[in-house]
Amino acid sequence: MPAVAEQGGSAPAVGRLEIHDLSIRFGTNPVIENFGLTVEPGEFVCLLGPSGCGKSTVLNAVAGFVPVESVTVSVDGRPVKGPGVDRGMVFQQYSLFPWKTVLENVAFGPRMQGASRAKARSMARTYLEFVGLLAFADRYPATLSGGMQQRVGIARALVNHPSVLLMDEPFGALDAQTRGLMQENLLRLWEEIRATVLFVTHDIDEALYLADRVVIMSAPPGRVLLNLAIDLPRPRPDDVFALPAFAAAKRQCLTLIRQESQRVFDHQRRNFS
Amino acid sequence: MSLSRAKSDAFDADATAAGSGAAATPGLVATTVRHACVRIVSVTLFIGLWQLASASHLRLGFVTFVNVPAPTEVFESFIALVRSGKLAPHLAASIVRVFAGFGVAAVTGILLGLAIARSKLAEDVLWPPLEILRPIPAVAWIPLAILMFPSAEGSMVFITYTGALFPILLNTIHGVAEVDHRLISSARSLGAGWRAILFEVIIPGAAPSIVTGLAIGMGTAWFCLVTAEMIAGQFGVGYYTWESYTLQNYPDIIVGMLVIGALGMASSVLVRWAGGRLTPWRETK
Ligand SMILES: Nc1ncnc2c1ncn2[C@@H]1O[C@H](COP(=O)(O)OP(=O)(O)OP(=O)(O)O)[C@@H](O)[C@H]1O
Ligand SMILES: [Mg+2]
Repeated sequence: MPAVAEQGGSAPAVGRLEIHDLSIRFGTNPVIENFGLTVEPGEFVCLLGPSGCGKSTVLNAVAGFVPVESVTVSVDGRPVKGPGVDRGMVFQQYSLFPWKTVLENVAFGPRMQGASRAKARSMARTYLEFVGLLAFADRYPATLSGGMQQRVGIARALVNHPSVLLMDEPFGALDAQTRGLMQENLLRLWEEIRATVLFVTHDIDEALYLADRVVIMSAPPGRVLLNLAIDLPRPRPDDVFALPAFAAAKRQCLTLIRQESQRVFDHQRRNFS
Repeated sequence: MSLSRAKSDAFDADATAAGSGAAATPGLVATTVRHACVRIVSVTLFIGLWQLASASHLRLGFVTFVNVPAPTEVFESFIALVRSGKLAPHLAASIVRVFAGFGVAAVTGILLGLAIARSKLAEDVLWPPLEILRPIPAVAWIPLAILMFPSAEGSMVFITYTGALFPILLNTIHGVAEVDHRLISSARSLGAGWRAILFEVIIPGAAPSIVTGLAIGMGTAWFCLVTAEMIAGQFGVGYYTWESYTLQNYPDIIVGMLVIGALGMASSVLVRWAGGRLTPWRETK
């Protein structure tokens, strides 16, 4: 599969994501304040934080769905002005086009890039093979399990060769068993394509298992509370969860998030009761 | 790392597990047959009671069956009507009117709905007058329509159009509004421009609701047409039914009613069938 393989190998030079002093308010409600984050090319960063702290909002700002001031978000030095194919997005659920077959869903991106229908389909096949779902190419998404749908979503994002992959709780709706498999396989894919990944989750284990670096956000208005480099071997060993380094990082995250969640809770009780 | 290894065995196991279908439940056929039998008995009983009420000139005070023809008479009248060859022109007149009114309503309802739902400017310009007209039942338009259209044909098609328009328009607006914003966001991230978003995301996303609107619109189209024909018509099944009343051909009234019902049902089935063909992804659930 040359289309996929050509991206592998040495360290990538593209996909440097810079978020500088990002502030977002919905009406009078400040959701994000002075949020700053730089993600190096090929780095896997997980964004953790209490529910409602603005994780999705940050991701949507990077994707270009939420308008931001021109200097605040940039990819490889180019300011983000709106959605673009350099940033692929995978949502939690329900983001495949239900009226398109699995193959047509994945071929959509290449077609929008101007590829011929035949070329787009052959690229889509390559990436469906890549996520192990080529046999389901002609099915409609509704006939697939949740985990399979998410793999199609990942293939659909990857086929466009994004330099930054944005994932908003992509495995949040899956059962624990499937989620584990998905995480394992996401790391395999990532080692192959080496895109920069910004991954939102509220599952600490998931964040520590996947990321090079975990970024913890504060209670709203959201800003960066902690930048924690995860020093665990790659590829992750099966017993990674039992390593002392894992336990230590987990304890650190847990304490911080619990404290922030309590603050969100208190804040909501003060303001909305 | 090679690509083939990227697909783990675990991934494939998941794929096969979800791929296997469920076997048909035994006893399902028997249950279906039983339900069908009950239904047939129910209809037979209904017709039998009607026959009894008519034949015995049943009077219940507030309602009387004295002038209600029995099913046997209705059946004879129906056969006579078919033999006489008078049915076809009535049918043709009504069907042409309904499909003219409904067809124009479908086109304008869908186009207006898409515009209003997608553009704030279109909403501000187009919606207020429609909002004022919306609560007026199509049938209330009949006198004005007769004044406005020089030909009776035109006024009847207009009434039919008015009746079908609003269900189609409102369901289109609703369907577009209900399209998941994540689908639009995903499409934009994948490089789609407005044209692709409209034709490959918005319209298919709104299609189920539009089909519902069309089916409802088809029903109201018949309802409005029959009323209009009774008042303004020459030919048409509504006209035939009313004429039967004025000529005191009572069995023919019921023949007319049943023909209207059958036509309404057949056209609803037609719309739903066409809708199903246009939204094939919904049948595979
Ligand atoms: N379009 C919007 N309009 C108004 N307020 C919004 C909008 N989107 C998000 N918010 C508000 O912004 C805050 C942050 O929302 P966001 O979805 O980014 O949180 P989150 O961290 O992703 O939460 P969760 O973990 O529950 O997904 C919330 O208080 C939410 O109510
Ligand atoms: Mg979120």
